[in-house]
Amino acid sequence: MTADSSPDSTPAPGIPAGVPATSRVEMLPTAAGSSHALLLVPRTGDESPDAAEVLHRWVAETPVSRPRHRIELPILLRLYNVDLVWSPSRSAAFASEERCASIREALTDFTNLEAELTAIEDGITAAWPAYEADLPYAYGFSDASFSVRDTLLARYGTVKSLQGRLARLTKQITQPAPQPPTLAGQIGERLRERLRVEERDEAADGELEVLSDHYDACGQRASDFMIARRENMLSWTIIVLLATETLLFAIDLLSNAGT
Amino acid sequence: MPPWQIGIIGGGPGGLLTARMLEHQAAVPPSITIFEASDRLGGKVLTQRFETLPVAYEVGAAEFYDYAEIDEDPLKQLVEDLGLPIQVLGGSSLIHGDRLVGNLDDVRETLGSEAAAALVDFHHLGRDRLSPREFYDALPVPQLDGPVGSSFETLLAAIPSPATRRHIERFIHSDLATEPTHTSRRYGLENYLMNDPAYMQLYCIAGGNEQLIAAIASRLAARIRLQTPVLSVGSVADGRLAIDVAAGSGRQQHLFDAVVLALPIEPLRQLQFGGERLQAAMQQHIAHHDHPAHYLRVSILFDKAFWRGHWDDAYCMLEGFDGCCLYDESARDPAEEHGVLGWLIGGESAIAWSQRSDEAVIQTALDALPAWLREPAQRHRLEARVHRWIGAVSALPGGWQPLPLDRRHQPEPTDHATLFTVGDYLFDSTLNGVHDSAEYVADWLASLMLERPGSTV
Repeated sequence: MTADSSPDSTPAPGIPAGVPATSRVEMLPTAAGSSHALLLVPRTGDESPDAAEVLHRWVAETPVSRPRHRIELPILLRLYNVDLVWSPSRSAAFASEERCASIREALTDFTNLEAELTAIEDGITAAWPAYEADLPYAYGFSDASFSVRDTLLARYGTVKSLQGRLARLTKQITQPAPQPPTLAGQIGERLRERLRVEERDEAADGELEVLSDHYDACGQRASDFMIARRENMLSWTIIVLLATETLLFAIDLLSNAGT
Repeated sequence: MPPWQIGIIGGGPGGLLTARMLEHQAAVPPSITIFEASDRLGGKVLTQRFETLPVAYEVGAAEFYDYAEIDEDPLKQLVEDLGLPIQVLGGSSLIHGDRLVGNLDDVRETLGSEAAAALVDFHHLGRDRLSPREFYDALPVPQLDGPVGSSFETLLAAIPSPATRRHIERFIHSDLATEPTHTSRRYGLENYLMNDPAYMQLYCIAGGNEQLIAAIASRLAARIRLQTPVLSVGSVADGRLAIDVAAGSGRQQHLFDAVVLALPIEPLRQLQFGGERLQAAMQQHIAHHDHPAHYLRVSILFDKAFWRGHWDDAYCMLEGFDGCCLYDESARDPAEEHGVLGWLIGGESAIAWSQRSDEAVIQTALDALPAWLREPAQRHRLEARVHRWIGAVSALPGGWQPLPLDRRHQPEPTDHATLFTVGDYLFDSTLNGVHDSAEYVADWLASLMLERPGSTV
């Protein structure tokens, strides 16, 4: 995911009060048009008991929801020696300095993965009204339908593009976590579980299959129509040519008979 | 035609599974009698409740192995078919001192970079030598199935980092239930690799594993005779098999077309066998399979699961007792409000501590907890129990060659061709192993019943 991402130019939000001065906010490399701020709070061993609550509040300041899946955000994870709060636009971690690189890596990968999945889901949601409107073209195509040919082609392209993006994402989602387990692998695994990523991936795949089948059928009807139309024109051309030939032949016969 | 009369000695999972499979597979269901010496069914599958509060905990078999990722898993299929709720058990940590070491980053921080690198190397070596498919199929692997003396210790000795070696030993000690010198390279490696989800996952039955026993027993047509110790087994003149059971101060004889000995090694040793040939065959069978491994279980009820939030896995490993497994028993039932911790102590430590008083064992178990659990454990403790399982499973020593499957299940094929043995010790000392064993014998008996329908009894 990081290969397709670029460093974000959005200014980093400020460090909240109530966390150690050694804390820092970093902007994760995300896809263009989005940003993700990570607050890293090095564990010192004498944190105040409500430190986790401070992190939670800071992450929840920029509300992003996933109402379609009824997932309550932010997600709070407590892993071995690491406390983590995650939302699509912000996350915060309580961990020793040595863990920060692993956490950053895991969160960058997961945030980009989840954002891409959400974008694909949004694309699918946007495609459904057009699917309903285009249903008749999967059954038959006529001269009256000719004008929507380019629109159908564009929608077919959109669906196929979404399918391609999802296929690349599925490869990442189903990749087994490294063994022996690493912190980055465990964070990714837990976040995928909590955000129901596998379930969403399967659902998106099913929906895209329906859309793709539909536009495949529309394409087939349009193609059949164009072939039939071309054959029709060809037939009439032949008829006209034959008629012309017959007429010329008749004229020739009559003129010879006169002489 | 009268149905076959089959006697099954032992009302544990082996006996019950054999009876269930026979009733399902035979063209004409046989008439089965199960003899159980104790007052309960289930053997090593035992779920009990505390006296203070009726909270369940596992006394015996702690978990089932889920091989569904690799191929068919008939035991999991059975659990699902019986409608029993499955609870996945997860955990990957070992507590070093007071620190929870749950991943490679923790190992690097706690034991050092060299130890972490050695752990990765050992893991890769394990995966290279035994693939998930070889693990599932129990296929022979020449590099692992070495000659006598090729114990798991020889694999561990090759690890360059002593800290990693200790980490691995502690991590798998309670699963092995024996010491690395007493078990094969393969069995040791299997017990290490089973922590990798590519090989298997662990699960239990929410609310108690013993529900499996109750569910099977309630669906059996077999006659079940509890508190009926079998004294001897032998053949009578016409080839039928006789089982003598204790009846009052005397004994009572029952005749069968076939008998299944579904007993662990120790009770099998206590049985008398009629005839020199059978006696010799059974002695040989017992000697070949007698490699005892040991467990000790400590279960403590607390007024609440005070560890949640600090430790949320279903189990982890402790350094105490040379490595023991600590289960969050209350994680087995999501509806449980109270907390139960269970210590599974294995190997030489189990033998040594089994000689001590319950209170001494309980106190040592509590002392084995990290400081952040030890103090609240004393404060929230309500009741504690100790259960001893000495010699309950098989250690599978290095160089030990398993017998061919027919010979494993039919100790004396000449004069006692319808006397069979079923047990976890014939496979890998697991519930999945006893299922395989029961299936093998049930298939065999079903085909014999097809060849020769009708009882001779």
